[in-house]
Amino acid sequence: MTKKENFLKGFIKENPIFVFLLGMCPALAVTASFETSLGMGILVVFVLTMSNIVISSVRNFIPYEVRTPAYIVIIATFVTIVRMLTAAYAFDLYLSLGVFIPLIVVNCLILGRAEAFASKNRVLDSAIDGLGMGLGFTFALVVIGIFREFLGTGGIALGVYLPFFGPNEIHLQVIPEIYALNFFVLAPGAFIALGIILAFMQGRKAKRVRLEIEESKRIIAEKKQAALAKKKAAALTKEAA
Amino acid sequence: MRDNLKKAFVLFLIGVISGLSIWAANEATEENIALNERNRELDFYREILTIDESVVLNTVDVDLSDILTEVTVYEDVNENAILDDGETVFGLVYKGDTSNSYGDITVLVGVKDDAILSVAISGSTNTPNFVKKVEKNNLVTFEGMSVDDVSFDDKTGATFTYGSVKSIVTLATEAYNERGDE
Repeated sequence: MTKKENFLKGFIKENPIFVFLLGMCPALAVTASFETSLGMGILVVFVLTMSNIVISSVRNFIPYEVRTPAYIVIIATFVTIVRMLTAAYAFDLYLSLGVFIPLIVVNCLILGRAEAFASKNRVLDSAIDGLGMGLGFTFALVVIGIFREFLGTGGIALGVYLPFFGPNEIHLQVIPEIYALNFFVLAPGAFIALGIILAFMQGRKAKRVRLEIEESKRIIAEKKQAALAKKKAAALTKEAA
Repeated sequence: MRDNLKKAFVLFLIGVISGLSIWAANEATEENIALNERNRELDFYREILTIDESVVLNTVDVDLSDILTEVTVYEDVNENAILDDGETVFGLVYKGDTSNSYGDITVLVGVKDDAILSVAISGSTNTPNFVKKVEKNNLVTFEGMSVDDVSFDDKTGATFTYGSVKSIVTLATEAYNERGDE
């Protein structure tokens, strides 16, 4: 696998949420708005990349039998650091995400990548894997967040929780609020939104697989016809001779 | 034996490095976090006592018990963090920290001129939906009540969250009445 493939695989092909269904707790709990989704995604990118780098660096020193507790301590350290940084520099996001920041420790995506990739590969590859998978996770959260916020409130709000959208809040109202389906920003809406997006993704995948099968059938049929024609031509030549 | 010692040593080393990293992060962020929490607390006081954002606020905190703290909120004109003569006192806020079967809860009770101005939940680990319900249905009923005659909703507000609010409001009004004309 090239470095580019390693980086891009997390976006669609091996997307943690849409394909592997990993890290579903934050995917359902913090995606009520675009900004909280993006904020959680950024925190996961940091923790995943850093923990992958450290685990890959020390993989040869950690005895096999104690690798899981060792990985968890490393991941928990980065989660604690990220929690402090969020409380210090993005306090509104910290309050909004609440208990879901410490819960990053038990996000199976992070331990999964540590076990499946970082513990077996070199530092650079592990860093790329962590970054790619983290960005893929963020992409999925943001898609769900935009979908839910847009349908639930009729627009998108910026600058409420994240400091880098500027000092003032911006509300991009597309549909009048009275036509919004409020239940999409509530807990049941999270499951339904995720279900719709997963169905769309699976539909696309099924269509692609069907097209691939049809294409391979067509190629086989063409080859068969070519072989038959060759056989006929050979028989005619033999007859003529 | 040697293998086990090696495993223990590796885990110990990881623990030490993790501890040092967390300590360093704490040192770097401690001040900002304290400042953010203080600003959040002052924002609550502004909301409870309806104070304009442009006013520089400060407080004098007196611990009345393990649960209750009396906070005198004033305009810090001289910015010396001391309540001088001539500085405007906006009111008193009683801050109650307690626990119930749902978790911890911090309730603020704003009092001025023998009346409750407002009651707010500033922090909680209680079930969020119950907290929202109490905030929406019950807290507004305290606004404007006399500290001598506080009534509670014992039927619809029968949750642990409301129970904690009730006990802190009771403690706050008792403390205010004991204070007299101080």
